[in-house]
Amino acid sequence: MSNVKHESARPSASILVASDAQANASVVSDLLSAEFDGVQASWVPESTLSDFEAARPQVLVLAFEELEKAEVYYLGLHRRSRAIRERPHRTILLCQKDDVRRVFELCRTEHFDDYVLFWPMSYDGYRLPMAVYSALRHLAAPQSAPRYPENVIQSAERLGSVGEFIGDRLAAGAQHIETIRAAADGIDKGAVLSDAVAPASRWIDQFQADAAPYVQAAQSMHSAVQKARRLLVVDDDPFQRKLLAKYLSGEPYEVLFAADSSEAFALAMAEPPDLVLMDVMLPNVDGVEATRRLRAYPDLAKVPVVMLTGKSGRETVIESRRAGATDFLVKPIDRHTLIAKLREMLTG
Amino acid sequence: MDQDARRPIADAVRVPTLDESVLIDLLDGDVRLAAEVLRDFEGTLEQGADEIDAAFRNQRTQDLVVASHKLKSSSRTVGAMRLGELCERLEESAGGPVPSVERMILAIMAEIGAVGRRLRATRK
Repeated sequence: MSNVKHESARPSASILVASDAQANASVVSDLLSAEFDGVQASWVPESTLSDFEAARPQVLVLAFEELEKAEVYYLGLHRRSRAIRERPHRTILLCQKDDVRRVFELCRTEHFDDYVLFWPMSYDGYRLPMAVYSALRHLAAPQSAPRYPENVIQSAERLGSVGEFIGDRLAAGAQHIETIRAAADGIDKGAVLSDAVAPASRWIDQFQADAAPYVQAAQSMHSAVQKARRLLVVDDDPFQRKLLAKYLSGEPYEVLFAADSSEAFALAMAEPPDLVLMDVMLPNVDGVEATRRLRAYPDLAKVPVVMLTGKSGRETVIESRRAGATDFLVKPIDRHTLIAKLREMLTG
Repeated sequence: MDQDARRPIADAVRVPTLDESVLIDLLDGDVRLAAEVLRDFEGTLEQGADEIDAAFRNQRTQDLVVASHKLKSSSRTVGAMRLGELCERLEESAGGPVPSVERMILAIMAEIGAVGRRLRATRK
């Protein structure tokens, strides 16, 4: 008898097929419904938002004949739907042969998660269901950096200094005992007094040893929470991105990189960072304008944005401040200044 | 050659080709990391040269500004001060007369070669 377990039940998942044409939505929905329960379709422009919010899909399949329309649809959802930012989901783009290169770039840079060459209809009818299975598996896998509520982060940051706090207080206590002993040396029957404080000395040593595991636990918790701090670096220069990656490699942050403002938006909207390091001079949309646009999104309005600039001119500073920049770092940036700035802004 | 076209190159000659202490200072004295960054910079030099050349050949002033700005920033980070200086001049006057821009680009290409040689010599 075989010991291989065969799954007979059809998998159920929340899958939304979005399109600008009913015929395409139907073809794709039918294909997926043959494999999954829970497939819905959306093709009426006026119902885009309500369809998405009703479905709250785990997997969103974009079945638009033109790539630009798929991008407009998805960006529109990000602007208008809170659910898309709250609900973890994967987005699969169906594309035509001529768009593969561009679609690949969009997925490589994490604007979308995956793509399937769908038009003209390929010989491989299983490719799309397989991509949906992969997306669902990805969602089921534990995420690398858990997000903690702000009060947990703040408490953990205080806990990080508990070892230093206890050490300082015990050292002060030991100093008091030494003062008493020194004074006892100069008086009659001073030895009696000196002996009397000996238990206090032993208590300090014992307390230090007993507290050590608790201090260690507090520091571990502090490190774990610190690792969940997410930085988004936006710079079009690969050298500067590499350099910042090296600067930050030993630091307890998860660092994401974007080469332009559209990559930055995609990453920031998928999960708001705790801080953005934004180069001023970016191609197409510059860092000042990108900051202004980030600020327009309620979830990103309060994220600190530190501008990275080779120019510290008055005009750049004023424009950046107006756009909502929190602070500045002038290139070339030294590691010490960067780390100090991040610590100050993320724990302040 | 008019005086304006000569000046940027002449001024830039006064600063060093490669001052390694700049990068080491930026990295808090981490010499090992500085060596890694310098290795990365070799690739950046080649890419910078290609981008500047392509922008000039295609007469795309804005691309020339962006490419020279990028190379300026990276050069100053690693202490390639003369190259940084030349790139700044190009960034500021990329829209100027073609012969003057071309001379600046030639100076930059020569300096890229000099920095590359210094980097390779340093590695040995």
